[in-house]
Amino acid sequence: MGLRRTAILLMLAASPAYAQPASAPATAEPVKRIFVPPPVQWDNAMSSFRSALQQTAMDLANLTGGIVFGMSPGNVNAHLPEPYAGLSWTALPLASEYPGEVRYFGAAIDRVGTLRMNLTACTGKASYLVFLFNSNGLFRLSYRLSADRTCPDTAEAAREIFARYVPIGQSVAMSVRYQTGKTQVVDVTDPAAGYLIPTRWGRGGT
Amino acid sequence: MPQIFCRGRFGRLVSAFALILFSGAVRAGPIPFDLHLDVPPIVADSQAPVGCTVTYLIADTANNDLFAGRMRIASAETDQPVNNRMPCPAEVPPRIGLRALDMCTSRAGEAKFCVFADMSRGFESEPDIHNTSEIASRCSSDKFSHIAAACWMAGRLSVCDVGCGNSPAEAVAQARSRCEDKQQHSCPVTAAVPVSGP
Repeated sequence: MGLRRTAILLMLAASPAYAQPASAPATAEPVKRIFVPPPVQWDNAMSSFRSALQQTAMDLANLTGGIVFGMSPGNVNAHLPEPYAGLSWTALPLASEYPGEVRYFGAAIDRVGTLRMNLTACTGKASYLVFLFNSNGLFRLSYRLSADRTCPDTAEAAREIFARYVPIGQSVAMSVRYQTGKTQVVDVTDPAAGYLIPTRWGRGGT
Repeated sequence: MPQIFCRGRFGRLVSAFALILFSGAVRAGPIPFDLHLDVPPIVADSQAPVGCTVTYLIADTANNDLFAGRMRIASAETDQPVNNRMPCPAEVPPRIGLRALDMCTSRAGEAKFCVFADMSRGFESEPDIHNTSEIASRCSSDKFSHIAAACWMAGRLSVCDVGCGNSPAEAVAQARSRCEDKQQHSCPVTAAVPVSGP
């Protein structure tokens, strides 16, 4: 072994990597997630408030890979990694749980690219994302995460998705999380959608 | 320019290049529209004292979620920082806590599911906001850097209490101690966030 090689090995052996324990002691205690909405700014008298952050549709676009409310079905489809061929407004099915003419299309959660939000938790094979449209364009993204034998609980996946949308103010994108049967739902809705906002997905719906 | 560079073929070449560089480029075309020259740079003063933030922990009992409702309160002109932290009001009116609850309600869908995260003993049998403490569910940035919750699971429901500290570990220890004292249970499920945030 040459002198130079011996010196390098000696330096490596004495490096800080060896001076520390191999790994931090593992903690078995569960850690709960805390969701952090944007802060609220109050005046000194604490009589009036406003959002402390100036957020716009760009904040949503940065999260969704460019998809924003008001987009046409064709435009949303073009943003997907595997767009549907020949998608048109009249060919889209009606979402029966909504009043008025609301149409939709969906894609498997594994095929929505950026909108999958880099999930690490399991989702169940039948989980999907629905894009809902009215005459003004896209007004809701609806994640439906269904449990199955490979993933008996999709709550953590729903929390991961929800955690990405909560920091966006409700004046830009209204995020809501709930459960329907064994399906965890995260709805992200255009605050300008008016009477469509309170509608929730039920098992008999879209 | 030194005379030596202006003599001979090389000198003429350097002179021509210098002329192009110093006079031509600026007037070569219109100013690009996307330089954002109208937007001043954002300069953050890293030495500025931390403004007052009162942070509440709010629980969504339907989903077992926790929210940190951060309320920034503007300082008065006469306020002076202590340890580089601006003071927070000694009294915080209930409307601030109600606004923190709204942050949960708008995301859980129903007001009845959103309660302050510091819960009384027996909360699991009557999961109602009246069995929670608004004051004990908040921490102020003039005294603490972190807020934490410690919880035990009553079936599928998290029953929690809140603590404040000047590190995540200190806040968790405070929350756990409070939870175990009040609930007479081991409180192994914990979480912590900074009181002040982005």
